[in-house]
Amino acid sequence: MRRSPEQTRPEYRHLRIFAIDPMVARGGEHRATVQLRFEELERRDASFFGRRIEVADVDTSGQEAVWLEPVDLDSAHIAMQHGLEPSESDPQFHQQMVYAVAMRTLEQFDRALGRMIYFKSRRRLRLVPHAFRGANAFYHPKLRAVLFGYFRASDESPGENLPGQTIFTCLSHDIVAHEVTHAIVDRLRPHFNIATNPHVRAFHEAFADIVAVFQRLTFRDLVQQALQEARGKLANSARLTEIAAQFGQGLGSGAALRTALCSTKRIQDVEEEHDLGEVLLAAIFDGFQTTFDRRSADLIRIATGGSGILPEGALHPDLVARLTAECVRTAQGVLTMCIRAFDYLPPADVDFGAFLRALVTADWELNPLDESGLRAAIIEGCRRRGIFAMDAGSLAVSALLLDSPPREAWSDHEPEFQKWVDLAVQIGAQQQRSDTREDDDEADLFASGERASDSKQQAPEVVSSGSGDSADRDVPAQKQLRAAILAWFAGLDAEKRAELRLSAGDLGTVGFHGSHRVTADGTLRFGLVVQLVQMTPVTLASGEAMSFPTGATLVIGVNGKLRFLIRTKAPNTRKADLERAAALATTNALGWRLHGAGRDPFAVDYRGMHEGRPR
Amino acid sequence: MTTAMAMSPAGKRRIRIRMYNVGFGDCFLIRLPTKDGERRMLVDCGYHTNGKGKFDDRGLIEQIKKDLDGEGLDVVVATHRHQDHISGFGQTEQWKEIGVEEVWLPFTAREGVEKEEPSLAFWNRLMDSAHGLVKPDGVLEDAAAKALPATKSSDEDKEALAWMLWNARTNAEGIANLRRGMKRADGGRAKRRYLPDGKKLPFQFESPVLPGATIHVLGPSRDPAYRRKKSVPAGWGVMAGVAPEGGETDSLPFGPEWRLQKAPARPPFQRKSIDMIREFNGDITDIAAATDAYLNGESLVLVIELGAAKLLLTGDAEVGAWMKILEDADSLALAASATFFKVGHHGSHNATPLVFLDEHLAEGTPAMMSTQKGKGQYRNGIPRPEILKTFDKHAMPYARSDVRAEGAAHGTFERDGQDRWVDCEIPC
Repeated sequence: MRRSPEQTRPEYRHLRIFAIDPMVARGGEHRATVQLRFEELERRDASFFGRRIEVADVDTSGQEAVWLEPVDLDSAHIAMQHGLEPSESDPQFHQQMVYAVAMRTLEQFDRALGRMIYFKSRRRLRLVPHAFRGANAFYHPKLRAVLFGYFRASDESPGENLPGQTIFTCLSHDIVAHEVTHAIVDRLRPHFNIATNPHVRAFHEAFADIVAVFQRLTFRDLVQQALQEARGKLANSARLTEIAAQFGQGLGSGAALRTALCSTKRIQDVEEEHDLGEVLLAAIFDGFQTTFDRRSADLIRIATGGSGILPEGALHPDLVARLTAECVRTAQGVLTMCIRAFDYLPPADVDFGAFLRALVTADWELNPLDESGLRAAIIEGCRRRGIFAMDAGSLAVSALLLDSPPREAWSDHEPEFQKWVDLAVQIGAQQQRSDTREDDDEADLFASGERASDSKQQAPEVVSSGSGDSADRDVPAQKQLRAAILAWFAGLDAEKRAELRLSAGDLGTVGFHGSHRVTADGTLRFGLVVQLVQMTPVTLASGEAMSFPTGATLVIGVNGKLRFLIRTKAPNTRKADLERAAALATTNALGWRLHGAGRDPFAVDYRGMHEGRPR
Repeated sequence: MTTAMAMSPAGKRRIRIRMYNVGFGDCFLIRLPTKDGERRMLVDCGYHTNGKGKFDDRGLIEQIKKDLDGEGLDVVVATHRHQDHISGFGQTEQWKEIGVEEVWLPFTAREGVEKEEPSLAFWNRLMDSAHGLVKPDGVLEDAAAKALPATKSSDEDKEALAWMLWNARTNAEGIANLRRGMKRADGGRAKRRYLPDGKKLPFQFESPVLPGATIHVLGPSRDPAYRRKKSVPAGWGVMAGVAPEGGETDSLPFGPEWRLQKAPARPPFQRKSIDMIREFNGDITDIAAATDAYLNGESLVLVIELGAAKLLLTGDAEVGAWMKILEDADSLALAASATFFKVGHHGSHNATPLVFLDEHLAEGTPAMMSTQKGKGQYRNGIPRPEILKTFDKHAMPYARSDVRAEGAAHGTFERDGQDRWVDCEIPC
């Protein structure tokens, strides 16, 4: 509510985007307007930026780099029409589109995790909508940028495109959401950058697909029209599955996703990382579809006088609107559940089983009864595809819930842990204050110039630090908490360290963040999630000396109780995985580190990952 | 008839050139009658695994040994690092039985050359990658096939990609043999020359093993701009039906009205970062094509002058290398005065400027073309019909390794009854 005439700052910023890629769909509703929390945008000569995202439009395809004029989204003329009109030929609209979709994706994570997700050291992720000529788009950790390519459709076999038409990957909602998700995952679990088993890369891809697909399914207008056309049946809706399949069409892999969504392939039947990723995506989509069907069954019965058999002809718009609401709600539910799982994942060496357990636990904590049946449906989708958590014993929810370590094992540490939680609460408060601070100092804080060290190393930065690890940007409580954790770890005996999959020596990485959850009785509980990681050396069969991350995620309750301890697999069981991952890495498409010196077989190569997408 | 041969002094001495029918590749044995007797020179020794001729690597070297009849080679030239020019050099055991006095390589093949020319590191890395993307038998690795964008994923596209990538495979044994392996007849180390041994082209030298001969090096240029892939200039002759070449277009998607008029004062990306991004331009076929062209651009281009004869040996030099020759009066004069022409790059559209044939090379100059007609995008139009027609137009007799050529004045050449080679004699 406004309290004075000066208060004109809006709550939201609305921006128009292409919801369906213009390169694929020309007819029908293919635009959407996204609502983002309003933030001030600053404009420099070659970019514009908010707190977390910077859009820098440089095109390197010619002899000399060409900079395109950044759009001024705060210009009254542009703002009053919800941003520029979606257009393929307007590069400033492209800038608007990548900003809007990236922010929408970030807000999904903010909402699901209950905290603002900043990138490492609170520096901005840079989006480059026309970075290079090529049918690819990828997240580049070292440049902290998402680079979008563009290319000409083939003159002879343009598919659904016009011959010779220029196709911009930045105009695909799904590509933007997918790539930004890679960046966010890299932020939340930096060690997932190290592909120590075949699931790691597969998880990266599948998770980015999940976010892209389900975020798209929350665009009400789009879903409504699709459901109208498909007469309410999600399962039969070519258009809805096609909607999801838009992802990657620009990269030439759309068909794969379409089949992947409905695929019943089992995890045991596939070897290759991309195929593995598709199994996970299909399992989650299966759960979504089952839940949507169940949730919409009553509506259809009501609309048909109990028969459940829809009459010929168009559906009543009210029914379609209600079905749409269920679809959007379910999709949002899936998305939130998947994102929330992050707080319960091991800090490295993730596999699908670990993700399933994390997902179930995260959801159970929020919603123990599972009244919608979504959790059960996703478990069932996983079961059908052979995704199990080996260490859980069964697929019963009670078995899938992460183990709580025996209380007595860590009871001595509870007073210490409790201190940490107190600090985490302080951090939350201090950070929120600094977030809302009026931001003259921040121009400097967020200076976009690169640090000298950034461009020295040729190899992409593989290991970055967790959220607590960037001392220069820390609020005071963060520094205290890191010091406390390090001191505690220094005093930890070998046995306890081993329990955390850690050994003598210093900690490689400490990551931590406060957590807030609403319990079943509606009260808010504070907590703390800590990631502890060490790099453990290993000599591969090839004689190459490598190191791989080991460690644990500690989920600590407000009373200092260690509620969950999620560890990487025991080091002695991982040798085979490491060998396999190393062998796979040498066959990466255009992987620059194939034969050269200094190659890191475990580094996730985001670029090769996308070029290697199967059709 | 006023042919080059008719105009040359009617000496008895003749250079004898044997072009082996290796399929898609190059292998020439040249016998030079110097004042100290016959000297022998082998220019390239390779073929493409997907375009075989009458020999495999082993058989080819056996044949060369047989033809040398116990003599050694005074000079071995490897024009550039493509497999179809050097595959045979990997047969190190067989090479131990052939004495080699000197090995001539392009300067780009020198070990550690990246230190003096950092841009080479990039191309060497690309070759490294290419090696892992295609199997030794010429079949694409899955990873490479999947890297093709949907718009370029037909079987033909795959074959073309495999063709280029296989050719760029690193032949570690062959390179090592050329750099360090080959021994003189007396057991000593063969002398290595990395050419040109200076910045200026044409670079000229004499070798004690070829007494009386002068060697002119017209390429590769030390300037990387002349070694990169370039489109065929409009003025080079009719190139109908040749697909436009990717990777080199000035047409950006948005016009100047959208661009910043001057470089940003505080750019979000610094120079080094921009250069990193720049490397991502192009998809795998563009990159493979650029690598292919780049390696061709490394080609040693030589004029071997002995008496009245000038042999123009072009390797696989493409557009950039030819631009350098056409721009430089001295180089052009040398090339134009050739009395023998080894047609570049198997007769492809981008390795022989028709303008050079039309306006510079003397009427009637004999030419040899090691080539193999075949299907597929890569070989589409190889050899280029316009080139053959231009030879006919100027009464230049030419021989192809793959088929008995039709056209004017083929009497200059003698073909082996089993089509294993074609011989030619050039007066000197």
